[in-house]
Amino acid sequence: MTILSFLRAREARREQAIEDEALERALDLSERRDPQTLAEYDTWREADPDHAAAFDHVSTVMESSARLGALGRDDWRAEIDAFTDGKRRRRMPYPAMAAAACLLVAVSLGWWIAQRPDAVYATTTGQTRTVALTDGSRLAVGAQSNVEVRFARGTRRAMLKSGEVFFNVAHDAGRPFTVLAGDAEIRVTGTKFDVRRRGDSVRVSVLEGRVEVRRKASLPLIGTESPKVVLTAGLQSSLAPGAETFSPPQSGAVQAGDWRTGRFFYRDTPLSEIVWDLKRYSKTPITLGDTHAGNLKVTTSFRVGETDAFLDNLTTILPLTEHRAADGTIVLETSLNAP
Amino acid sequence: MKSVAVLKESDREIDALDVLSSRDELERLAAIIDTLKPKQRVALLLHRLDGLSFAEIGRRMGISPSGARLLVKEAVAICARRMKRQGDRP
Repeated sequence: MTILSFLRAREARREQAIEDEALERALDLSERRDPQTLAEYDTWREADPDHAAAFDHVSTVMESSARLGALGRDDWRAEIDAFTDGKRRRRMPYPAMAAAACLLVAVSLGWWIAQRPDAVYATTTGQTRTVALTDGSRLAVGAQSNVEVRFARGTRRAMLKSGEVFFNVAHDAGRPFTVLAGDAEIRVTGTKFDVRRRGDSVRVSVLEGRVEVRRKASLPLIGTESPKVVLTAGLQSSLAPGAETFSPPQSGAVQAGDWRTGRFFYRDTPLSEIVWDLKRYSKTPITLGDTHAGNLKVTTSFRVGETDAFLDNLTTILPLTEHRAADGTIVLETSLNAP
Repeated sequence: MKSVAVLKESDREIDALDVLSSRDELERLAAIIDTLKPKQRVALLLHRLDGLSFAEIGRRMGISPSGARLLVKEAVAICARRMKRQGDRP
């Protein structure tokens, strides 16, 4: 063995040892990030630039692999399920067996796997966020909203569980983008539009491009599809709970997705609708004292963070009174002396 | 459910280009993962994709927590080595 090859071999062993330690530390940190583990890691990292480089490389790989869900690899999911189900069943008590049996039925219907999201984006009161998806699409998620996203080879799907989301969908004619919101099915290839889901009512407003909306078939296999409504820029349509179809297109009171500016505009809108927004964006709980108050219609606007001024204004223009309940909740009620 | 991202106050808007270039990276990584042994692949995906602890991975795969950790370690080591080699190419 020449001296050179000896030195090369020694260098390779050293590199290997550093890589191994970097990986052990990255795995430790993935499980616990207590002060002692972090302090030890800092000391080790600073001891040698090669330590830092090795650690950064391995943690990049680990972080990237956490984003692999974006590829929508159903074969991996099937492999995991096959692998883990077989092992688990042997050690399961009877109630768990029964639960697993129910799960297997769901799997055999092909529903369970097909519905699982790649990612869930949820916001709390007063919080809005933008999300960039791997296909180049962007979402603006409104307050108190929950949307699940799932991409597969030929499809892009989002499921709006609650709240409001503005979609800026990247064009891909071969891979349509579908939004499901309760009974509403919204299909596009690339466009900008807003979906607002309040309980079981869904409203779709289009800012750019073309959007097809329909009530989804109650039994997909039998396939009695309800007629679709086509919306273009500036138009909106709603699906009321229990309604057979979306309402005919009409021009929207405001630009679709205007809420992203932090100001909400309403034209001839029931107070219940406005209070739904106030509840989502105001830290102070607000509620309607009676259904009559909720049916009052008004044309107005409010800015997020200026709830108090808005309520003062509202009680001036509508026959309403405002009082605080014992727990601090603001209650809006019809004035007793209203006409 | 694979992952729940409750968005934090510090979230910034990701540049579309970042996302596109990282998609190539992801495809490369996926190709390497496809060459792993099934056990290694399942352990890695449960750890990284589903965010499970080694104890939970062990429970699901019917092996010990340290056995689960070893499988994840082998998988990450192979990915890291091969991502580096490919990354060095001109």
